[in-house]
Amino acid sequence: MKNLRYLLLVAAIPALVSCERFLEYPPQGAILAEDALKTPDDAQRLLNSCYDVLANIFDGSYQNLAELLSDNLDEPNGNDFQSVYNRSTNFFTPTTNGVYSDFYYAIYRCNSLLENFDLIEGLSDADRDRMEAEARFIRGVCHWHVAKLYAQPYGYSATNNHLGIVLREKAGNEPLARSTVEETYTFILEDLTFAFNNLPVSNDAYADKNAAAGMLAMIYFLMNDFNRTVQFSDVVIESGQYTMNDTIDRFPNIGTTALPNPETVFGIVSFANDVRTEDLTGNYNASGILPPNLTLSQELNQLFAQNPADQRNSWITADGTKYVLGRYQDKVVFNIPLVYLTELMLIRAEALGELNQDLGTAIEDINAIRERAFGDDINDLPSGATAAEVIAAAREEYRKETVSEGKWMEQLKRRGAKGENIIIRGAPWNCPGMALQFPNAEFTSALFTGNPEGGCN
Amino acid sequence: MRSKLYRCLAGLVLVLTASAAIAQKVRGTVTDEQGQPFPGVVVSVKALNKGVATDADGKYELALVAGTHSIEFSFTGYSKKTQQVKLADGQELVLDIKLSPDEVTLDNVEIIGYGVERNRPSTASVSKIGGEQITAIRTPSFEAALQGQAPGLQVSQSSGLAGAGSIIRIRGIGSVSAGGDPLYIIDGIPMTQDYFLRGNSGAMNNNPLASINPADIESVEIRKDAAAAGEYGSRAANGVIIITTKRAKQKGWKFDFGVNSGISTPASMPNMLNTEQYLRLRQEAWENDGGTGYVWLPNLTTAQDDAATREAAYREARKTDTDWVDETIGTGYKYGVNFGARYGAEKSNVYFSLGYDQNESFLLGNSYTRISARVNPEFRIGKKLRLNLSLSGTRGINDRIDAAWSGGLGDAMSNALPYYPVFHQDTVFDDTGNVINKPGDYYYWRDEFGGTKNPVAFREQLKWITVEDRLINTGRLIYMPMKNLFVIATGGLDWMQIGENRLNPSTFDLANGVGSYSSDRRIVRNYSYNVTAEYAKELREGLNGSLLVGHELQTSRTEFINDFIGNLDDTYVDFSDVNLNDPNRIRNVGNPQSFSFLGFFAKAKFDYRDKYFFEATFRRDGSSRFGVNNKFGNFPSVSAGWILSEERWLKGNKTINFMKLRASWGLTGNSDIPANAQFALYSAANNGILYNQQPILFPTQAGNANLRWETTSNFSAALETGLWRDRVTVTIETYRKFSRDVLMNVSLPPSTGFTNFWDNVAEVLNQGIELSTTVNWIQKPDFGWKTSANFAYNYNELVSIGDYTPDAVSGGTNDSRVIVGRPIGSFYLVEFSHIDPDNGLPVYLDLEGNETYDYDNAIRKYVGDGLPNMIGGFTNTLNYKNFTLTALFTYSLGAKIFDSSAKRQIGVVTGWNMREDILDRWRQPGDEASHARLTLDETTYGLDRGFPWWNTSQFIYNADFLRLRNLALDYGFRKETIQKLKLESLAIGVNVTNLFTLTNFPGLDPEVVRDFENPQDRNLSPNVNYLTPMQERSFNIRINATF
Repeated sequence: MKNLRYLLLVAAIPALVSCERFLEYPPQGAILAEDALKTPDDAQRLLNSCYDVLANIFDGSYQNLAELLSDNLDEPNGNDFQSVYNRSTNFFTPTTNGVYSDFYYAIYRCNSLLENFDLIEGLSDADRDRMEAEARFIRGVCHWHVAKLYAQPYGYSATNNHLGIVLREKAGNEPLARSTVEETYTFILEDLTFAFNNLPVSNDAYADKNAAAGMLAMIYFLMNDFNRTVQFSDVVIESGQYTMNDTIDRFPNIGTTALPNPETVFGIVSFANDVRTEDLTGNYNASGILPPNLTLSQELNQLFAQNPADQRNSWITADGTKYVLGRYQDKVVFNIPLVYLTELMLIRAEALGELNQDLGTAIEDINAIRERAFGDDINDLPSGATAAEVIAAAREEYRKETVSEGKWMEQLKRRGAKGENIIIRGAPWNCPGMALQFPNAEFTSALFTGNPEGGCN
Repeated sequence: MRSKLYRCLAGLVLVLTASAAIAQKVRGTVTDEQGQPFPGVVVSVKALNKGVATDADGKYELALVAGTHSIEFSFTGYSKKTQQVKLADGQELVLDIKLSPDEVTLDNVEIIGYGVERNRPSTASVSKIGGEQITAIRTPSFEAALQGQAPGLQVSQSSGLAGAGSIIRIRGIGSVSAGGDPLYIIDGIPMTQDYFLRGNSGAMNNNPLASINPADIESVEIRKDAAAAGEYGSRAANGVIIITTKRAKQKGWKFDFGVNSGISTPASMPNMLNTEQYLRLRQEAWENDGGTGYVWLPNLTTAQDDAATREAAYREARKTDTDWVDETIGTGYKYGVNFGARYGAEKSNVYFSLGYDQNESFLLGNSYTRISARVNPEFRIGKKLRLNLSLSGTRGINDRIDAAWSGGLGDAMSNALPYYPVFHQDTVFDDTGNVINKPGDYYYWRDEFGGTKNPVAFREQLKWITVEDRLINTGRLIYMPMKNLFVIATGGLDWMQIGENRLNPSTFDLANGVGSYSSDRRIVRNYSYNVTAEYAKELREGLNGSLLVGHELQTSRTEFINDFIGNLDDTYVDFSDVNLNDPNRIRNVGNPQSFSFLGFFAKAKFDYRDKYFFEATFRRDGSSRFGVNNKFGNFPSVSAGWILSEERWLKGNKTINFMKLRASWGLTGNSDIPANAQFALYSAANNGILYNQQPILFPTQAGNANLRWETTSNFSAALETGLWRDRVTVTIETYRKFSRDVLMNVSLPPSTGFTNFWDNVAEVLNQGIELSTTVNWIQKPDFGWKTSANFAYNYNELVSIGDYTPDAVSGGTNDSRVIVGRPIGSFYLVEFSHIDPDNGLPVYLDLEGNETYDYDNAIRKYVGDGLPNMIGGFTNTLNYKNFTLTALFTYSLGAKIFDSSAKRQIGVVTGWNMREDILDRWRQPGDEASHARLTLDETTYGLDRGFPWWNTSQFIYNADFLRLRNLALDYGFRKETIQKLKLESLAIGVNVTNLFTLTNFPGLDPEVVRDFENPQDRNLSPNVNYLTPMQERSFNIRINATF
């Protein structure tokens, strides 16, 4: 039986080792989800990370895709940009897939925060309310921008029962179907309205009440709801917190002008050690051997060139047959306003024109922008300008002021949905390819329906 | 000089002639322990590769050349006996031998796997390949030499890149996202076998097996079924490969010395267009699209340029015709030296070796150099204890080049157009008259992604080296307190550091003119030990039993360190120019990855009268990689064997001298997934990511607390037969492997906020039949002919993927997907029908089989797969006197290959050069052409604008092949001839690998291992080619001496 003793001894060795403990290898350098959210600081950091994603998206990544769908740009360099420009994205197009995913990263983070307030010890009610409002602000903004790129616009169908986007109200892995555009806008408005009602009046570089009001004004404008456009634009413009920038440069280099743009209600901030503008500076960069990836369309150049006195002509230089936009040239560190006075003044002016109300305010706003651009009042709208003239002037200034900011595409779609005959580079505003295709992985669920492709050429 | 050569040759002829001699004989009778005649005993002279078996009366007769020979008598279950004989010319010697049943002692105990090797027939399916079979073929890495050597072992040869690895599959593939490679055990411990330590760097995956010196390998065991692999339980679902290194077995000193040399050339060549051809086809495409005048040319003109500018550029382009393939390949030289020493004394012995192997590939600038040392000592400590150590250190130095998508030959087969010169011929000025380039400066161009290109400039100026240092050290204590009881403790450390250093000179950065240096280090420490106790006993007369219990621990930790120095000026041209402590150095230290493993096991074995065998194994394994509730899994196996030829009714049969039936069933598992896959994780971004200068915290990974083992139910049955005294042996084997809970790294809809997560989802079936046979056609003293052949048929089916769609798991950047009812890694593309003779357009088939011109991703479908149905090899060995001629053929049938780069090389005319295949294109109505009408506009083929990636079944080809994998001629000098040199043996051999391949595949090579992104890609994308370098054809000579 001596032999058995050896067998038993070997068999018993494992008993000396605590098996479970030996197999517990918590990840190093990472935090388990259950340990991540414990303190108010943790919650604030998670919220900061939502802004961090926004900064990644609005470093030009979103703006470039939206701009490519408009008639502001010439045919770009790069396969993905060409696919967007040609309105022929498919579910393998990496750039459009990346931007889509980024929006939902931010949404997941916001939802993770919204669902876990109860885990956080010592969080004051005020902080909780603020964080909840900020998270819903970001969630709403993200869903809205996804809808603008990946679905046909509000008003595409009479009842807006056409397919919108996947709405994520909870953090979870389950696949979901797309909601209708009506449901999409209802969801977005709920988030932004909640944010408007609960955000503080000022909040450093983060979302505040006016940021939500500005977003609401822009959303209602795209819904062709002009009364609410005016209502929420007024909140911001009349708050007195913002003043028009003295120069035409919306993106002043921090460090040379010392102050960021005083028009900014909300936007993306950069620092020397944290630059968040690379997709704009990189793709419009004219200092390389080859022309920039993104250049302006001839038609837009002509619009600028109509009046040589327009200082905004200085943004454009010809490089062979290309028209290079120099708005970001030689910029090192600058901020990117997402909600700012000029745009709100212009959409309020156009909304007032559409409503044929208070045209004086509208004309005043348009003229303020023109005088900044021309340096004098020679090109001012006359005080007796008609509503149609106000609308036309507001649109022209809007297109010029927002060039490269990815906003013109949505205005063209809005006007198309309103009934105008909008043709963008030879194709109607509502041709299938004007809504980008969703990423391949979204189709891993049978619940999901993609967009029809092509049809714009 | 010439006369000296003739004299040498004449001398050699004389020596060879002297080797020929008249026949001599050794004959005798072999008896067993009771003095009874012993039929079926193998009597062999290994050095001459000759052997016979004793007849029913135990008699044998062996014809030999005159000289001294070592004759071996062996029979399973009996101790081997070796007898030295010296035969004079014409002598006939009688040698009677008595064999006794083997008895394992502390001195002769062999441990393979966990247990004591008792030299008895077993119930397991094991193929054992000797070291000499591995060193007989010079391959970039030893595992490539296993090809064709064992049934059911699929070895896909690596590409021609120096040091690149093969893919090994044992009885198909049962894993989707978890590693599908077999478990590698070296001298008793599991090796670090991560092919993705360096990810996909420069289109090459790290090969963890390249650092093993083939000359140190004693044997490689391939364990296939549950009886063989079951004792490795949770890690054995894809089979087990056990590598045993050499030890000294004789008394006194013995030395081995080997030198080899060879050249590497490409086994096949791409047929790219020259300038005239390319320009002509591009012009045709332009005109087909409605263009007038001369076509615009990439990097010279654009479509918007006026006609005169385009014409001038076209005429200028015609002046250059660069053969970029020729610029990137050449002849690689190989040489190696191995020195081995063995010493055996009463209480200790040692095997010692030094190896140096310089292995240039045919890709210019690419080589793998291995410097290795090994000491395997054994010590007898007292009467009951023995200590074996295996200590090895290797440095593998890989002089890197870009390949495939990353550049080099890949560029030559894609964006390097023949009208680009290697160097500027003229001075180039900018708009203001400044000199930009002088004659002799490298000419750079941009590829379609904006990357700077010129494969020659990159090869010559880029400094890029990967150094792998590896220490595989194991120790084994064997304690034998009493007869038949062994307590064995084995422990080891596999330490590995891979450092990749890269210096990009400033000349590559055309925009800013700055260079950069990066150094990336990965360090793996893999500790493991196992301890077993095994007791064997004769339970009653004829009934033997043994019981083994044991347990095992393994823990592995991988660290990541990356240094980067940017903004280097033009004075930085070599590594020596870089100050590693540069104040601008940015160091990133990655999160270490660790896992641990724990196993308990028991194995019982019984055999009765050497006829009936039974084994049962039970393992309970735990892994840190799985969720809290599923850390442990149970893995039982049972097996039985029956030697029919020992039954009275068959014993002594004149035809069938051996027959065995065996069968096994067991559960095996797979846990080869990332260490932290189960966890839902957040990151505090401690690498300095801020927003608005404030810290952030964010989720990084969706967790799955329910992750558990992938489990394979593995049934196997076999019939082994020996006919006419083993003149013919045949083994036929069948198996069925059904894998459940197969791990998938599922693509999540991005709207969830994550890209993927791990889950136990799929079910996979592998079933097949294997046949192996050896036929000794001729066994004459001076002439022998032996054929060994194997054949394996495997059926692979992905039975279920839950509720997911085929796109839920994809093979990296390839177009392989998971499709229920089809093999793992099926190609999921738009089906191509034909070229319409009327208009030259490609016609596709939609999901219903209707013809359409619209290329639409929504009509992708299964169009083939890369898994072969049948694989195998056959070796013919011819002996004539002291010459041995060996020819190893390998073959593969039933697999398809997706020539993924062909879609650009013979598709839309773009900035890629094209293959001559495109010359067979549609040109006018009525043409029955292989390829569509040429176009510069991808929409012509129904593709989306800006998306010339044309994934259709037109580029799926039959990958059947028959290849002469190795042809070798060896000559062993007669002892008498070499005695004056005091040599024991001297052999010289020449061989050529991949001499020819019979295939219908029109691309480079029907057998391809491309670079992969991760284990899932490696599983799903066999036989996808994307600018992958061809395989090498090498010509080698080697000389081996022992003294």
